[in-house]
Amino acid sequence: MNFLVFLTIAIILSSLLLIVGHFLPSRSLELEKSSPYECGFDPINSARLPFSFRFFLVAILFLIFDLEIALLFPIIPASSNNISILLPLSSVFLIILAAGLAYEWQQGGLEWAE
Amino acid sequence: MSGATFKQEMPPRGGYGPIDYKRMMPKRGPSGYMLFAGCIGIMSLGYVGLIYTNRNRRRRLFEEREAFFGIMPLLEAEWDRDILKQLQHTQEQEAIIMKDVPDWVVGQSVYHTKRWVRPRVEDLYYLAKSKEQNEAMFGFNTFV
Amino acid sequence: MDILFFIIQALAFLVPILISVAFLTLVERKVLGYMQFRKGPNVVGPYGLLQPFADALKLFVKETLKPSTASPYLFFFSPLLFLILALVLWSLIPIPQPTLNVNLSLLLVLGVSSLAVYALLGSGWASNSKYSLLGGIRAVAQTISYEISMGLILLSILIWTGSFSLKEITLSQQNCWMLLPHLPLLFMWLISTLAETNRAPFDLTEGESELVSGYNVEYAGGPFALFFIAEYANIIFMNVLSIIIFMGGGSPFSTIPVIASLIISTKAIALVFFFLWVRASYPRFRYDQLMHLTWKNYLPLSLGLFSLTLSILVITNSSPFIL
Repeated sequence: MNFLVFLTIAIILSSLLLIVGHFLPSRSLELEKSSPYECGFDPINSARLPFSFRFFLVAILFLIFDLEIALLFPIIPASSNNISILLPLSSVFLIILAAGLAYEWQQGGLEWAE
Repeated sequence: MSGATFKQEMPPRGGYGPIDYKRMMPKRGPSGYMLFAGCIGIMSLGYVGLIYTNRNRRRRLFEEREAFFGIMPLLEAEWDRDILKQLQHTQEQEAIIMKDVPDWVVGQSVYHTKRWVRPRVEDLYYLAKSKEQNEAMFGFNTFV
Repeated sequence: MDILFFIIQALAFLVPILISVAFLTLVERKVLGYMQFRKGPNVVGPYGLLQPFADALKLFVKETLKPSTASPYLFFFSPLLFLILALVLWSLIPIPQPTLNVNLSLLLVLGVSSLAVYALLGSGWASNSKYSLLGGIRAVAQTISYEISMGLILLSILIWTGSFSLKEITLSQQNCWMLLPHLPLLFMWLISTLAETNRAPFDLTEGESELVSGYNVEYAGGPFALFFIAEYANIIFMNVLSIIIFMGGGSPFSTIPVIASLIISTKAIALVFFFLWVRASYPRFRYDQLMHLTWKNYLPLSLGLFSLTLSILVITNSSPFIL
């Protein structure tokens, strides 16, 4: 509940700034001002380009490793439970992950992962 | 421009002297091995401190738990008194509500046994306002 | 009535943050100036103290543009999202008592700072311009890559704390700051926070000579000010978070109300100065060097150091709680 109140206050404050920024200035729309910026020239192609494949690969890698971190989070309360089994189990998980990273590296997936 | 004699800037006779362009790394500071050893030393000191802190935290936790166990009978008695007070309050309200219904025994146990069965939270608070019900069932939450 | 008090408390917390962000812009310009053997702005007020207000006035009075081919709603709401997330993050920091006492505040911090990626992506894509698209994509790839090493470094710290709550992290550093046993992690964390906030030398997305201000190329005036405020609020937030996680967060005096806040502020100012110092000192990274750093250097190293700390914790039997 308090979080929602804080969120609402943050939204109101930011919207206030945004609205002030939109209604305070005077406007005079011209053609040159509302075309996309390309160092003075007219835009050459459409702007919805296909993007490079490596960005997609970075996103997939981020997904995998972020899930790994999310799966590593339970180790933190686990250290208070049965500590003698913690190291073998978590090291199995970490070894599998490290092996995945090593395989990815060797196959060139991180090569100027750009 | 024709006609005017001017002095053009040219390199000196015989060319320029030698220019040193090499990267000059300073030969000072600790070597790599010493940095490594220093880092391991600081880390071990830090680990010793952390282990000491954690052991102290554990001892403190056990101490607090032992204190809680020590006064547990008093706390249990207090909770039982609260339950009985709330049960009496609920039964009085139930008697008022069901006074016109024939053959209604107020506070009749739903079990066949004769022992004292601790009433559930729902039995104690089913006639209270929903805010109090929530508070009783899920605890006093000031968190998110 | 409680809610009213909480609203007043939240406003009393948020408005000084915005003011401090405004003065951080002045501090940055003056510090950079003095490091480059010149004075920063000192004309506007005494020692240039009214410069941020002049800047804010200028930005809010300038005309806001929207390219005619831009997606309207996404273009309008991306800076709003960025600023909202930057302000919401501030509610979880214990200085020394947080505004919102959440049990799992560190997870919430990680989650909310990951949401800021959407604002970058939205603003880059919505302004229908190749440069902002490229800048946005590069910013997003950089931010998400460095979040992984940040998460792993946090795991190594949280093992010793036993809980995800930031207050608990502060309390577990009474005797020994977390930076002493985790010195390499501290360095990696500081550089990851530099990269996470798109700050020099990782500021390719705003590389003035390369992409002409990257994902916010089509923004002018008010929305640009919002991006700016959100970025600087993120910088100060990341620094205070580093203090809390690594440097004790008011450590001997965490329970004394005013002194703890002053100590945390002083340490945070020192760390902010470090950020500005790094900006003045180093040239910009190339993009593949940046990616090489995180995927091939920081990720294996933080994974290895996490295994090391976990092993030391298990071998010496020093977990903080026992169920």
